Amino acid sequence: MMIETLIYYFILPVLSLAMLLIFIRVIKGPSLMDRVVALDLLVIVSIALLSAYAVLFDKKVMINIALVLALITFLSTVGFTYYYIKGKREKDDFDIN
Amino acid sequence: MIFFLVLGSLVILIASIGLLKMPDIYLRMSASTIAATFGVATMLVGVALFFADAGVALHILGLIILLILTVPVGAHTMGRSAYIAGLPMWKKTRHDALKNKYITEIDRFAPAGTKGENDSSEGNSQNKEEDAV
Repeated sequence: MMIETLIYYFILPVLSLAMLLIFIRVIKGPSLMDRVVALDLLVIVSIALLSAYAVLFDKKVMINIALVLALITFLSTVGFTYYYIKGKREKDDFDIN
Repeated sequence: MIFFLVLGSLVILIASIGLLKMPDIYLRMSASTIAATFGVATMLVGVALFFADAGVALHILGLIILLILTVPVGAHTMGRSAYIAGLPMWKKTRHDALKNKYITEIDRFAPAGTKGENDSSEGNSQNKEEDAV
């Protein structure tokens, strides 16, 4: 009972505040890479949120969902940076010529 | 268990504050990546202590190993692409270890500083002048 109270009144508000600050960076970010970094951190915070929900509802399945999210965020980050550089080079070459 | 959960959530909050308040994309990436990996690993250790089950502990061990292996690789690719794209550094940055290692976007378009990135293009423009002489 005590750990449910702790999660409801401390851990979930703290993680929600963290997600709110990250969303401010997503909206404000001056360049595109700032937004990529912020979205990467957002997925990591959502992994932590899923683990908190696993304790709260006593469901072990949430850990598997966190595992899938951790796999997907790495692939999306690497793919996004790769195509960011590639697209920037091709666009600039096109502008010069 | 409670200690691990509280410590992990506080470290994640510190990571998000660092992401919001740091002056530079590289510093932001450093703060967010290091702190968030440590925070999530700590919270997952707390979850493993809560369930006290071998299967869940094995899943969590795999998840922590996966995070520790992949998050620095992702941060490295993000920092490399940000450096190649020529994003500006902080004004008080003293040392640039990658100064002549990559052909950045600032180097490709001379003269430097025409794209409104005066903060970072100073070192690159000096290098360009040395090469021209």
